[in-house]
Amino acid sequence: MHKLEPMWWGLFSVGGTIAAFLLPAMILVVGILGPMGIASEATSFVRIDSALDGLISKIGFVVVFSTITMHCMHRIGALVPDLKIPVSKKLASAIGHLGALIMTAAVLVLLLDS
Amino acid sequence: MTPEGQTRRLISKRPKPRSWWLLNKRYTIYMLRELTAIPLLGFVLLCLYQLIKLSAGQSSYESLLSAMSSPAWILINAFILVASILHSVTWILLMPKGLPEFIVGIRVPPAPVLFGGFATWIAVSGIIVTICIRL
Repeated sequence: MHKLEPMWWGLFSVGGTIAAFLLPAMILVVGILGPMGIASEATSFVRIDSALDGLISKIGFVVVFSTITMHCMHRIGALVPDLKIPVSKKLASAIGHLGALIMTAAVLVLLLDS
Repeated sequence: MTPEGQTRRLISKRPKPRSWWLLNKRYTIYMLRELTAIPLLGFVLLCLYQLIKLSAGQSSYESLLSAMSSPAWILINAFILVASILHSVTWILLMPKGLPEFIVGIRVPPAPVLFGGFATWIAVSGIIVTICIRL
C-alpha cells in the first residue's frame, strides 16, 4: 500500500458522503428544474453570480466540488482493474487522482478570477 | 507448501472473464454501484463547464442554460439523477458497516444509523429543492 493511500481513501469517503446527501437534490435543481423553468430563479445568471461572490460560498463550492471529484476519480481508478482494462492499477489511480487535482485547480482559478 | 495451499493458488490464478460481474447478482449490484462514479463525474464536469461559461459573461452562460432545456439534455440529466440516487442509497446502506462496531463501549446498532441516514438525506434534499423552487 502506498503511504498516501489512506489520504486518498479519506477524500474518497468524504466526497462519497457529501455526494450521497447533496447531489441528487443539486442535479434535480441544476439539471432539470432550473432549465425547465420550474426553479429558473435558482439557476439564473444573476443569482449564481452573486451567490459565488462571497468568500464563504466560494470555499463551500470548492470543498463540495473537489471532494466529489476526488470520490469519482478514485472510484473510476479502481474500476480499471475490475473491468480488466489493460492499464496498471498504479497508473490508473495516479491518473485519476491527478485529474481530480487538475479539476480542483481549474475551479480555484475560475473562482479567484471572478 | 501443503497440497491444500497449492489448490488454493491454482484456483486464484484461474483467469476471470471480463464479464465476471454478470455471473452473480451481488457482483452486478457492486459493479452498478461503482459505475455510478462515471455519470457523477459527468455532472461535475458540467458544473466546471458552467463555471467557465459564467466567468465568460451573462450571454455565454445563458446560451448554455437554454441548450440545457432541450429534451436531450434533460434526459441526460435525468439519467445522472438516477445514478446519483443509486449512489446515495448504496452509500447510506454501507454506513453501518463503515462505522466502528463499538463507540465509547456501546454497540452501534445498524437500524438507527440507516434510519438517520435516509431521514437526513430526504430532509436535506427536500429543503434544497423547496428553497430553489421558491426563490
